[in-house]
Amino acid sequence: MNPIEIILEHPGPWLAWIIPILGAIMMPILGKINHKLRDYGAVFFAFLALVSCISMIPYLNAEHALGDIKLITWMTLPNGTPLEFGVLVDPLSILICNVVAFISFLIIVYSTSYMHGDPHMDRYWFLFLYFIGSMLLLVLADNLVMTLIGWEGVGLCSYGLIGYYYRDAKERWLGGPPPTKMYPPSHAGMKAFVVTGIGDVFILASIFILYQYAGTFNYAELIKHSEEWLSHMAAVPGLISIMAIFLLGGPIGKSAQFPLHEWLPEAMAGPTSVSALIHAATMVKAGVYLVARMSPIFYIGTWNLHLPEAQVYFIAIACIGAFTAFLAASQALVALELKKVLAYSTVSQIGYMMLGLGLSGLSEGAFVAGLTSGIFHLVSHALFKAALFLCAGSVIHSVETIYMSNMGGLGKYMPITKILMLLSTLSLAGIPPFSGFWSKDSIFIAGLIVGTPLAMVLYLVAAISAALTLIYSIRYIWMVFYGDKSKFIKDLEHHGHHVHEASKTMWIPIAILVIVMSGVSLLGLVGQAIPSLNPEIFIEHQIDVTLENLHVELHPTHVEGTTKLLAYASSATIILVGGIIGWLFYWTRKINSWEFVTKNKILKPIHSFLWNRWFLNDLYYLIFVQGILALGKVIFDLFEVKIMIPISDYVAGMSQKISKVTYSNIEEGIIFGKINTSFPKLILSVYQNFRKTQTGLLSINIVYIMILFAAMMIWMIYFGGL
Amino acid sequence: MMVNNLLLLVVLIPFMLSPIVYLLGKSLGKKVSWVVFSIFLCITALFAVLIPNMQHEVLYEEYNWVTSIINLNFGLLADGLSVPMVFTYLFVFAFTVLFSTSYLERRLNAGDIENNNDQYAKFYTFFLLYATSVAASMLATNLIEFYLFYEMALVFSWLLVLLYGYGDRKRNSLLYFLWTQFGGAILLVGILGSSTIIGSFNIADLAHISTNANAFWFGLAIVFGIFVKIGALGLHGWMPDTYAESPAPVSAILGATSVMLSTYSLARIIPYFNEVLYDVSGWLMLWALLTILYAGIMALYQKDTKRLVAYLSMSQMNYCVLGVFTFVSYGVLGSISYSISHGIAIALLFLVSGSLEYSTNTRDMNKMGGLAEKLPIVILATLAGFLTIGGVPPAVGFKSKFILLSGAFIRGFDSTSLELIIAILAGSLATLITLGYEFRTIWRVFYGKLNLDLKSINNLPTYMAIALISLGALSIALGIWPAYITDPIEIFIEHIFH
Repeated sequence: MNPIEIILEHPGPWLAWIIPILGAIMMPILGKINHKLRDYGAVFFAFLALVSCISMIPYLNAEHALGDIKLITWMTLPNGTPLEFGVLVDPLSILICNVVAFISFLIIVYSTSYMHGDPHMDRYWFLFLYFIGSMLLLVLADNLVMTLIGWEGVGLCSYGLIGYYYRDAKERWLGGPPPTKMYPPSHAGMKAFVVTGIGDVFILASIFILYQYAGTFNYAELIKHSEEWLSHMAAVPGLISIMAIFLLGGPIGKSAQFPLHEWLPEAMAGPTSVSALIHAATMVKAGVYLVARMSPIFYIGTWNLHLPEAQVYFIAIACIGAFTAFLAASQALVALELKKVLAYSTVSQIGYMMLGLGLSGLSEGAFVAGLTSGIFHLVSHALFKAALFLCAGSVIHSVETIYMSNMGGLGKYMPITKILMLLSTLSLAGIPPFSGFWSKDSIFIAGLIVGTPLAMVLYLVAAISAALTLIYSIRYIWMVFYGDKSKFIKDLEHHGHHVHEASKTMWIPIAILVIVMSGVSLLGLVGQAIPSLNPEIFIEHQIDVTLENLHVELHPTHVEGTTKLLAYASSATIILVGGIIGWLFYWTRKINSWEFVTKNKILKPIHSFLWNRWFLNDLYYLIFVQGILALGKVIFDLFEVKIMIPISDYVAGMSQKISKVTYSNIEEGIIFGKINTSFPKLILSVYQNFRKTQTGLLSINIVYIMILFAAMMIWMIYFGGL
Repeated sequence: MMVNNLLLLVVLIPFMLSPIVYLLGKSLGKKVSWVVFSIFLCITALFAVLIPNMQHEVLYEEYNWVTSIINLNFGLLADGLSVPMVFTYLFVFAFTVLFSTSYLERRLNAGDIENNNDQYAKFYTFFLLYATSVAASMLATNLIEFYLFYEMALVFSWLLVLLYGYGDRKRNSLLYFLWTQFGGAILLVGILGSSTIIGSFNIADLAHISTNANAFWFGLAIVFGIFVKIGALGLHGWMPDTYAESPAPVSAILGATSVMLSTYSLARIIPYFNEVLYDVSGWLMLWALLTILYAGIMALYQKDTKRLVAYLSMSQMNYCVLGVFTFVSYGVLGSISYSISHGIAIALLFLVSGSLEYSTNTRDMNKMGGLAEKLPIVILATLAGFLTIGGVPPAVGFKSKFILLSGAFIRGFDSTSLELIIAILAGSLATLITLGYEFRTIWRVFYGKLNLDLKSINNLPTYMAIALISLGALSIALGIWPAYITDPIEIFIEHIFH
């Protein structure tokens, strides 16, 4: 079949990413024609992408399952190995691409209002649509190379959109308030690209190692033959661990996990709509998706082949996830910029997802439960965090400040935004019966199913982080919507600027997100009685089908009722502890948190430790920026300036000197002085003597000819090979 | 094929047209660039058509050259290796010519050289001869012919650097000539030695060389000669100055020639020395890696745009060396396709620095900043060039670097830990440094507030913009459809590895 026919047979998975990319290319052209046309065009293309994704939902049904469709041979590798271009349509990819397309569509609608009047919308829409296309390609691709293409594509758009305000006007700077160091948006974009680039380098190395043994990049084939190539690989001790850790490097960078998490807080320099889509709901989930996608390989390695090294994958990602969840939540406690709080919160919540995925391989029976919890949290987080960011955007749009200390008492002016943000926050904080509660709960249950000491430690860390989540949630809600108006807002009103509610095109997309989120929450509640409606069980079923299609052998364990009760009990404890602290410090303001912290000798250093982001950011800059530049200077001064340039100049000088010496001695002295004067004399004398041989006798002339002929013969015999 | 002596015509026509170009230049002045551009656009189109054919057949032409003393034929071969390379090279050259007109006018008005029609005539004649020599050298079938064209290219490029360079152009051109001539001499020793062993000058006959005990030394001599040209660490003395102080179009073609001709010669000749050089290939890879890292760090430190591109080029070219010396099919395939990517990108970046120089009258990056809004085409072109070099899709560099590095890893797993460490470092540290200097440069030059000194920025002439867009578009197009050039190369690789 030719490629067109293949696409037409099942258009959904192809058009989903082709349309946005084509749309992106159209944007500058449409922009030349009419701005309205361009803006509606962008919405239209995103809508088509959404329709394409929705059209894939029927394939969830096992009877219509599509699996791996190959389109064309992209290029031929040596030994005639084809590198094929195709899509993998299974429940996992369908689920994620629908979430991506749905949220993208809503945010693109929101953007039409949020970005209204910006003079560079061609660029904005181009990057936005190109992002959607790349992200869907990343999710749908059937092999690692295509995924990487989408992966780099989203990274590039993220770079372009973080640095969207590349003129670096002072009010766009991030960080601070002074004396804390502030960063311009263009710097933040560069930082994001380079830091995620570190992760990409690792994943690339891992893919090379993998390809060396597996001989394919295709997911389905990798998993299908994993027993063969993994056992082959196990012959080299340590290789599987290295491959696993390197593989995780990419997701760690992209999903902003420790130690590559430092780019995400600065990524908030872009427009808020971008933060909502790329840096909260979708792109940062790419890592989670990839970890889930590759986990069957390591599961098979761990539990079918009993290779302890394969489990490194799960242990590493679980530990990193749990630690990051705690690290970021602790920083969110002290941050002053609204978007930065949400950014830390995103990092922290992705840590939970990674933890869930990591737990899946820690015991034989936990695989489906772990994957389910990770993916479930991904979906629910995408909904509430996108809503939160969009609300934050509305607030920032309205009050024109990024600092929470400059807000306060906004609830009166922005009632709709307040309600929407409150509902999403309840979900983030894991208050039952909101979706965040159910998804976080499923992670706890996965931890309890595993039940090993390591899992229990991670469980504890996750529980503490969950309490911190509740505390910072209370803090920011109070600082933004409650309390007294800040001096900044009073000044603003004094100058005739009135804080206003967001426009309809802005709050309706948020409302839709919150309604869907509430729907999931409600289903979670109803699902306790009617399991067929439970979103968790729905996702679990999809994961089951996905793994079945990939022929992964499963050993599910039944979840005891007591396990569930234990998880609920710990959730209740978390809410109680976090709630009381948050209530005392940030709601009733019975205790002035600032005074409490500054007066306490232990808490003050902790505060400064957290405020300075555990000093990790400074450390990275010291080593990787200042360090390398200094090294460059040292090497340049030592080697280039002191050695290479003198050598070059010496060579040039010497050759000039040699030619000068040669000229004056040989050319002038010998050739001009001697030869040029003596040669004519010589010729003259030869001529005069030679005249004597010209006797005119034939015989003598014949002798000459014979001598010449003999010389030619010798010449030809010697050189001509006669 | 349609014409029996197609390749001969392709090589000879530009040579024969060169006096006409000179004479036309005398009367037309800078407009003569259009003549050169059209000639090369036609030849490029011809090669573009040839590429898909290379999967099934090769074009081989042979003419008697010297028969009396030694039996030397003048052969021309178009196969999976040479056609994609020549195509890209000529494409780059054609658009560089398009770019050069306004730039050269600016250069001649600078004051230190006179501005008259004769200058244009000479420039375009030498430029044409230079590019044709390089192309002919890539089509040559025997070593003498190859070397002859290789040296001719050197002479013409030396003239260009000498006559039109900036700064101390006599010193720079002398250095360039001496260094590359030094390399050329060593290369000649290697070539003559190898020919003596195999008893023929035919490159294809080198297949029997590995049986001889001296093959190792002659192989090494060839490698050394090429290393000078490609600026391996320690042998790169000529490179930064020559690149930085030449006019941008000349730098662009110098850069493209360096990488493409050197990689071509390595890929064409070195696989025959597979057995004899295998033992030292790890060390040669290490040398390449050190160059990559060293020049990368140098690039981070530069303030001058052209000098930055010079170091960047030096750094990235050595990826090709690294790939060839893996001696595995993936590595060689990756090298060849990376040299094609790099040829496009480096020419593009030199032209970008030329445009910046044209628009702002400075090459100092500290004086730039915030240029993105004034020069949107230039930032797009810079991004295209940097993405190609950094190996980021959708630019063509992605797949080239991907294959090259997978080759390095395959080699690494096959042999000692040295090669594996090289592969890992080349894949990780070197790539990161690349990303670092690329995005830092974009940040410094294009973002932030517009520098006050640069309020009067010249807009880019249309043809310059077209040249930049065309090169960027070629990189993206080959990135989306890599099979167009890699499939013929793959046939060549199959041929030499079996």
